[in-house]
Amino acid sequence: MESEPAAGFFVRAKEALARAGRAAARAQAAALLTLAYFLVIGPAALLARALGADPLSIRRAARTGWIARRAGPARETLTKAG
Amino acid sequence: MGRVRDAVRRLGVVGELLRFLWRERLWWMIPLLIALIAVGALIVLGSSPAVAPFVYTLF
Amino acid sequence: MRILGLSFDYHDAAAALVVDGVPVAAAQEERFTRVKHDRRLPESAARWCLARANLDAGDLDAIVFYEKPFRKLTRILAGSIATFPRSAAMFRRAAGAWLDERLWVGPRIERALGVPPSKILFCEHHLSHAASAFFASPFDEAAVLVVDGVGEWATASLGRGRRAEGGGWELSLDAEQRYPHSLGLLYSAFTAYLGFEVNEGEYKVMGLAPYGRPRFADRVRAMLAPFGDGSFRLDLDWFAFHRDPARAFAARFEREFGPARAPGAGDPAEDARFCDVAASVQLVCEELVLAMARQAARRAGSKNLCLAGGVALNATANARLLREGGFERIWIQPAAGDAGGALGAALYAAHALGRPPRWEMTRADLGPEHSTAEAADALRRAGLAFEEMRGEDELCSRAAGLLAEGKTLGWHQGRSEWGPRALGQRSILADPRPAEMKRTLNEKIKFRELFRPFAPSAVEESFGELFDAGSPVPDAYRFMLAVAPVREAARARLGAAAHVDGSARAQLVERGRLPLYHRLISRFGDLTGTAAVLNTSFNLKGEPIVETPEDAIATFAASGLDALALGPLLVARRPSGKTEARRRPWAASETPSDGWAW
Repeated sequence: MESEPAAGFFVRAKEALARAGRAAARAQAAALLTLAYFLVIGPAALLARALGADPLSIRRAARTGWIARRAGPARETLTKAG
Repeated sequence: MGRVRDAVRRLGVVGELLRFLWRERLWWMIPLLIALIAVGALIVLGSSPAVAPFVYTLF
Repeated sequence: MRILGLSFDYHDAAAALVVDGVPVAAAQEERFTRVKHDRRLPESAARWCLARANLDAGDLDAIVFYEKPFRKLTRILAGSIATFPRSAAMFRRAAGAWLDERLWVGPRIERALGVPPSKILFCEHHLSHAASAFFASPFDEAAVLVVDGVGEWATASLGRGRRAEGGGWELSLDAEQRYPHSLGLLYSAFTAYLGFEVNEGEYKVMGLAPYGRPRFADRVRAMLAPFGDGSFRLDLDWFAFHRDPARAFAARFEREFGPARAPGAGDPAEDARFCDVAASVQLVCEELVLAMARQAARRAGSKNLCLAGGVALNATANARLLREGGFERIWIQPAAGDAGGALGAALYAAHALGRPPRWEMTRADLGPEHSTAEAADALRRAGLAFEEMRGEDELCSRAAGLLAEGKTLGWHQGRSEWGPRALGQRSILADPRPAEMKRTLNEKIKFRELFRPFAPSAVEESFGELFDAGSPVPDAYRFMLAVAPVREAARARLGAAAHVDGSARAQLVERGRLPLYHRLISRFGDLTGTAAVLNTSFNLKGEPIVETPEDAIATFAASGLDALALGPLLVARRPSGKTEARRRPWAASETPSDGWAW
């Protein structure tokens, strides 16, 4: 260990650099996603509100919360991710 | 090679997703998702060291 | 036809392999990785399933994921739009997770297991749950009810299963209630309010409820505005789970019920207010489950009910359903939570793609088993002295003798259980008679909250004499899915098993289904006159249930267990003082669990 202090230093430096890189990437991702929230979701939300949309069925108008489901043929439905 | 194939496969998933939204008549979600996936691509590029400096200059 | 079902990315990842309609292997990823509630792609569990059946991934006809990811994504987008601008942090986390991983479920499975895209299928979340109940039940026709936190959009679904006209069976869900109006999420919000971990501490709310009076029940009913047919609309003023990644309930909760309990604060059973809150939400939960089940029965026109989804693990609600639901017979999937979706997805695909025979789940041991040689090696490596019993008779006699002396015993036998309950394969057993055994188990081994009772296992011959569960004993008791009143005359003999309200989450042990466990308990009955034992899962607090002999030995060493049986190998006493606690550095979940359903 003591014979290779320089190698140890480089390993540590490299690790620190990688850590810093990951932190920077995380911060950048957070910044981009926040931006997306206000620039992409925001306008859509304002538009939806202006049009009176209620995507989570929050307003209580219905007489039941049960919603009928339509189902396609099982075999075909299974192949789709949506 | 693996990376390219992976990217192609992911593009395939995005295509499937857009077809799903179309089928379900969720047209209004299509621009939102395209924008979000573009952000996602930017994040992926930004976290790969080779490209990062260029992405940072975008802001 | 060989079909692998997978559930992952939310919590409790699992894999299940169904060959020609019969589940041959099923296990949760946490049992392999030792990360509690591990939610990563279950590679270890999947590989074990394949190895168990001597298959390669290439031999599979299909791999079925237990959800429709695109549908779930539309919910998250719609939720973000509805809650703008208060959901920025939520959006950041959700969108990050989706863009990083969740959208790419297909390619991830392809890469992990080396299968082509054409073999990957997707089964809706509630359909997976429904299939895990109906296609494992003994019914030709039944109403089906699924209740949980949320899948894609559905939070509760009603449906039916029956014989199809052209042969085979069909299962359909006809109606659903949608996010955010969710009984599971309501219960989780109270779990968080009471200072327990969401997706883990719901049992504790149920355990706390009998200490209180439901004096807040009207307020709970008011926050969910029931329609009278089991469906309801949550008043979102009370909640934050739909917009905040770190909080489930809004400030209004604390205005109405008083300050929330801090996680890890002292014994909640000593604070009447918390007990009353727990009792109230439990009561309302039971009312809603009953109303939903009646609605399911009415729509399907059936006297049978199949039940799954996380809420189906509420043993007190299940007991009321058994007593008051008006059903002839009820079948509940033991892995009713999301892990069970892996089994359900595979079963659903098996019946959609082929015409396999029906299969009835009569035992829960679908997990890995470990040979006596492996166990002996592990014991030698750990330096533990053991004896090999000659046959089950000697094993059961010796083990029953230890239990009768008041010893606590780690009981590791055969294949591990599917679902969250230990049912006699990976169990810690003890004498149920002395009330102080509860304290002993808690303080020496389980290190869990003292207010929670331990469950008893009783043999079929004495079940009716100990518990008032009706006759014949409902299927749910086989898998510890319902509580039952302990009979007055038996209270003194089950001092450690009866809860404060005189109930117990009893397990029915039948000779024909769990012969070894049945023999052990019978032998204990011969010695003591009480043919029942305390049965708690073989793990320490916060850890997954043990899987391998090594796991069992590590838990034995790290706890105050008195004895250990690994198959026929018996460690009859702790080595005096010299076993150091070789406790593994068990990881808590690496990333915080996603409390609120995205």
